Amino acid sequence: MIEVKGLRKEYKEIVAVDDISFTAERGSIFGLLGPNGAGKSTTIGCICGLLEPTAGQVRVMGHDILRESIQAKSQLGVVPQELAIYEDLSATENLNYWGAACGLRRKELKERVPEVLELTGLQDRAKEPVKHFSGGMKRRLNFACGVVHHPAVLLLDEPTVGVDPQSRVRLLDLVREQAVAGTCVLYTTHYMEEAEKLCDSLAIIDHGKIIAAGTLPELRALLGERDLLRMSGVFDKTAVPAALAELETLEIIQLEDNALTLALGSAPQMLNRVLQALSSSGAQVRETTMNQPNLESLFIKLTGKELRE
Amino acid sequence: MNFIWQTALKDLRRRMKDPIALLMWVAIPGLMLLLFSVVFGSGGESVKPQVHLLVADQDNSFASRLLLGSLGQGPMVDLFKTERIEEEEGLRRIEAGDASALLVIPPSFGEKLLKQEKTKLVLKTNPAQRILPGIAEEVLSVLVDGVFYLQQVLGTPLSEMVDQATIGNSGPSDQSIASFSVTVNQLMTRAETFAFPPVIKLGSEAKRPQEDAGAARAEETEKPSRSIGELFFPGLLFMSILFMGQGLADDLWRERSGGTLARAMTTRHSVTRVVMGKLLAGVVIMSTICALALVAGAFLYDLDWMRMLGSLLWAVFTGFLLLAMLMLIQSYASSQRTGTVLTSLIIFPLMMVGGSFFPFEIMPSFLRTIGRWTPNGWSLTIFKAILAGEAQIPMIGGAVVGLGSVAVCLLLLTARRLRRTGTGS
Repeated sequence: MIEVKGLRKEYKEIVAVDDISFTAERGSIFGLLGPNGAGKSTTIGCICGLLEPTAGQVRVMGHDILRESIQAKSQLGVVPQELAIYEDLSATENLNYWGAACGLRRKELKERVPEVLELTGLQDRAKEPVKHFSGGMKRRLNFACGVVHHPAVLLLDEPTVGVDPQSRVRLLDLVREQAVAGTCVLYTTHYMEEAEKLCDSLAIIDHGKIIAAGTLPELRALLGERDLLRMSGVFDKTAVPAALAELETLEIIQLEDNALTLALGSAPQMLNRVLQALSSSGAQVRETTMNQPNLESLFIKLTGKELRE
Repeated sequence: MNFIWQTALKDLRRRMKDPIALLMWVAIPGLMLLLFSVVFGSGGESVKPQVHLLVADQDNSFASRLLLGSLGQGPMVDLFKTERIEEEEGLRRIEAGDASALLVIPPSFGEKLLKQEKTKLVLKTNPAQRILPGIAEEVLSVLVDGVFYLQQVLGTPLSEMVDQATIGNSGPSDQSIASFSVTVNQLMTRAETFAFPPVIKLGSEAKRPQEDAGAARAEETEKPSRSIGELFFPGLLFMSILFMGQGLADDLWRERSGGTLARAMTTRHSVTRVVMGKLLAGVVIMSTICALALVAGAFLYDLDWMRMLGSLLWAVFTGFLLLAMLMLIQSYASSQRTGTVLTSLIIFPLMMVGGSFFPFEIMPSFLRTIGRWTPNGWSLTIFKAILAGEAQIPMIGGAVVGLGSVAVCLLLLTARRLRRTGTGS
């Protein structure tokens, strides 16, 4: 398991990570969800011992990453955001090297490398130099190098960035398999739907701080059992709140000059009244969509902004 | 140790996949060696320019034979090729450009010389040639002077001996030869006081500073027989080592920008081991290339096989130090490009001054002095001394211990720098 307590990382005057605490359990996937620059990669860097925290503590399977780094790192498997493989070597040679670097002996490598190649669907191209691989194949190999030694804890830093849809599905399946096999997985992403599908528990991070944490149902509950009504058009930022104030169980999630997002109970029944109120405020509604509440709406509610790509 | 070896093996595999890059490290020095050999000739065993001297000896006396015989002795053997010929035939061949000069020794040359009467040697030169006839003229002028002084000193006994030989047709008597010998001996003994001691004194006082003695002696003794290729070979081998050092150190940045260094740092192994593995791979590559170059050198330039191992070890040790230094520089560079520029700024001046582009032997003395104090120039001097069998083992041993410690410090500094920069990029 991973225990993070009061983690803080400063770069001169910039606070990249500010007092972050969470626990990720074995056999589960813990997601760190946030926009680019939120502090996800810095958090991963501190957990894997690549960066020294300014304050706080990180324990991996009970070992402090700074004081017992060898024991802690022995439990870790890391899949970095950027590809970290040798493009001039073959997939087999890459796996052999990273496996050996993580402590596998020759006999273990002989068994495990073909296994991982098959797992990632690279067995047919195993002897070929990686530079001839497609982007998705390289991503799969990048993942394979992180799991070749059966780590107890797996850190995945946005492993699906720039990956085609097919490879993304394959990678997500692989991550799920790791968790099922008992690995503690920490998964960072800025794709809401990925986090929703994959993670057992989540922490939403923005500007280096955790703004919400819990299981998916717990996070949804923060929005209440309400639907999400999104509208585009022209809206007056002063007149619209006044016009909607009379409607019960309605909450304005987002209000811009050209966009409005509302959370409300029984949205289909309420829709007529909402449109009338908006019309009386002088708003012009061009398009309306209705959704179930999701992480994105929670993020918007908590931060007042959309999740940036 | 296993991880260090695994890292080295991985780097070696990567290098083997890119043989062109490997080849480039030796191709430039190799091409330069080839170019120098072609431009300046293969050196010691090449055909030297020779004065083809035609001689029309119309006197055929003891004196004319003495004069011509002197052209066939000592260093004159290589310089002159003499051919006896009739004057008319000689003139025809000179006009045809078939020889450098024609020497005509007139009748009664010897007799007139002994009687101190005026006589004249005629030298007709080939107008199509400029240098070789000039050499013939100068050398013959000196020889004629020599014969004149010999006649002044030994004229009387020599004249008596020649007279006896001519009258009796049975050659000079034992008595006259003995008398002539005694006269020559007495003359030499008297002349010894004035002629020989200064030469001996000059030779005994020509001492050099101790530290340069080995290399200097090696240069002095080798100069006459060394070929151009042999002269350039050690420096160009060091040039190759400098290129290898730069290329191998550059890989540190490739690992940084490729994310593999950061990934290696997330394993349980320290970054020091990663750097050690890279150094080990560098040493293996340098050893292989230097060994091949030295074997080639042994065949081409007749280098001593017994000194191969010592010179190889020293060359690789130099490369190891250089690589450690360049890796430290790379670790401080803000980008791969900056790293390459920085290392280029260091190695190219070192190459130019340190005896790799131009051997010390052909450098102006002030530049040679500076060059020998550059790290690679200093190492090159020792390398040459090892090849020449003039190396001072205790000094080398001390240098290996001292510089080995420096290399360890460089390694630790590089690892510290990489640790502090984390991902490094």
